[in-house]
Amino acid sequence: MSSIIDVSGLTKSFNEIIAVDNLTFTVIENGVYGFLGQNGAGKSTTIRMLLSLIRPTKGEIRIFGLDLFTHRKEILQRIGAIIEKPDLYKYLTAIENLNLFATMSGLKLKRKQLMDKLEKVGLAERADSKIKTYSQGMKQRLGIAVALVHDPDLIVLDEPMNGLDPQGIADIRQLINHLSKDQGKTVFISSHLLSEMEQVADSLLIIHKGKKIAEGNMIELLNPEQSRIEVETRSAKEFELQLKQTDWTNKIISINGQKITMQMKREEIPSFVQQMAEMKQDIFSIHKKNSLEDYFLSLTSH
Amino acid sequence: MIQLLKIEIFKIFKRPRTYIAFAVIALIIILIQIALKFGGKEYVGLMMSGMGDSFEEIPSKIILNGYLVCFVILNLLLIHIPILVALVSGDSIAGEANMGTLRLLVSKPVSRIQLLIVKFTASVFYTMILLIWVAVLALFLSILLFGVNWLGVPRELQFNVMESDDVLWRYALAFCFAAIGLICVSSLAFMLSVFSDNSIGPIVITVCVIIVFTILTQMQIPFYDETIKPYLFTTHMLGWKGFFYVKAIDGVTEKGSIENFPAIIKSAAILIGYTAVFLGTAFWYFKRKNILS
Repeated sequence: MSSIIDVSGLTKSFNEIIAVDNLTFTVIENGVYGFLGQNGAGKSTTIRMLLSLIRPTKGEIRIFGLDLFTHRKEILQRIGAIIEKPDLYKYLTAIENLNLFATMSGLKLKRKQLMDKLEKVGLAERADSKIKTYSQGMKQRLGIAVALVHDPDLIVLDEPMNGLDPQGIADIRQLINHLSKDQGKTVFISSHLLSEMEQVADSLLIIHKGKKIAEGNMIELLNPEQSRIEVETRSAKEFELQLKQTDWTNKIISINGQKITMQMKREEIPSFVQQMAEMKQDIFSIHKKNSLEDYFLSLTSH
Repeated sequence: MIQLLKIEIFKIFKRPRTYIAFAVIALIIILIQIALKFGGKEYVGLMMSGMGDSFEEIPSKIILNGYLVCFVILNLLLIHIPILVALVSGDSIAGEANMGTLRLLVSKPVSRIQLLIVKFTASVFYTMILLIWVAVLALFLSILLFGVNWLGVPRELQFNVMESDDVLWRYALAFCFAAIGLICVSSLAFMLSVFSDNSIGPIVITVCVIIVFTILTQMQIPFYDETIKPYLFTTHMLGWKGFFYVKAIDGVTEKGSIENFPAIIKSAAILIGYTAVFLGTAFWYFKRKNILS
């Protein structure tokens, strides 16, 4: 697999403030690359530099193997982006907006082709309505249609789930999976919604105060050596007594009401679940505690 | 490039606010025409007072014709139209930043310079349409309502008279000159628009500059006549009047003449120079601008 984005030594300072500090990372094609960081960590500044909206103070950006500053037009031709919220022309209709941005990408589409693209995001029936009458979710879907109108190879999404209801978030998640898994697109996505990111991203880049603090495959980053498991039973005390008769007893960390928390290696989890079933305990839920959120907070909270 | 220009023009004329300027101009011109239709005699009397006895015998019906009405309208309007031009030019880039669409435009495979050229050309197109609207209402509607005759243009202690077949070409050139002046104002508002992320700022600043410069232009203070006035673009925007100042030999005006054509050319050149400076600054800054909106 070849790299789609190669960033090295990227730095951006606004007067005295260093927003992005010597950032280096690589995005490999055909996957979902999650970009995490707290508010003000430098995510949006980095994304804006990738889209040539902001000039870096230092560093190099290569996309599709080309230097962004010397091959800007060729590169942007192959990128579709939503930067923060999808602001479009409120006084124009959906089809007018889509046609306008298709033309800016060098396409000349007929009404039927535009309608097909709106159909894919479920907006064909409202194609001739002005955007000012749209809900936030509809605007987001139109923003996606605009970003994908020229069939880009790389899709850059900056906080695409902001302001969406649960259904809207689920739709975006489904779309990201579809673009990545079915269409072989590369998706570079930043989001505050860590649980959502955990569900869609294959790789992660985490930045804090402008600097990279972690990068790699999601599974590797989430430390499989030390998985924490929370089990909810009818009676944690009763369950503990049963566990004490096995080697699992050493793995217990805490007991709290109906919940018992244990720590074990990732590969031990299946045999533990199997043994629980044999114990005939009433198990209401089993929850893996070392989520992306736990990992993210452990890196950024100090 | 043509496709992009079509998009920009489409966007301008899809906004309801674009038509405010057309409505305002139509309202003012029609109000002036109504006033002159019903109170023209008094207006002409006032205008001719102090011009000597020989003019008092000419019936006001002859003096008050479509050509004079157009001259009166242009005299009143050409200083205010720039304010309406600023509404669109000042909104050109800052309005996109304000709406949040600028980041989308700049992240498209179009160079920033190309984007600015297209945006400014669209603003100029709007300005020209506005000027044509003024010409249609001020000249052609006035001709329709008041008819044509010779044109008398009052000046300080002078009254320049042009025969009716010596007038239309002067209006054509005057409108061309006005176009240069309005493009200059448009480029000022456009430049300010590039510096701002909110369209109110560029529009208000442009309007303030026009008001302050116009006041300075019209102040009769000898000190300013030599030190400031020659450098104000508003001074040179009045150059269109030069097409109606004719040469006179022994009190008889020379048909087809212009009293000081080099002065008109100089004013046009200064306005073009200002436009180049405003646009150059806009392009220089926008190429380097960080799009944070």
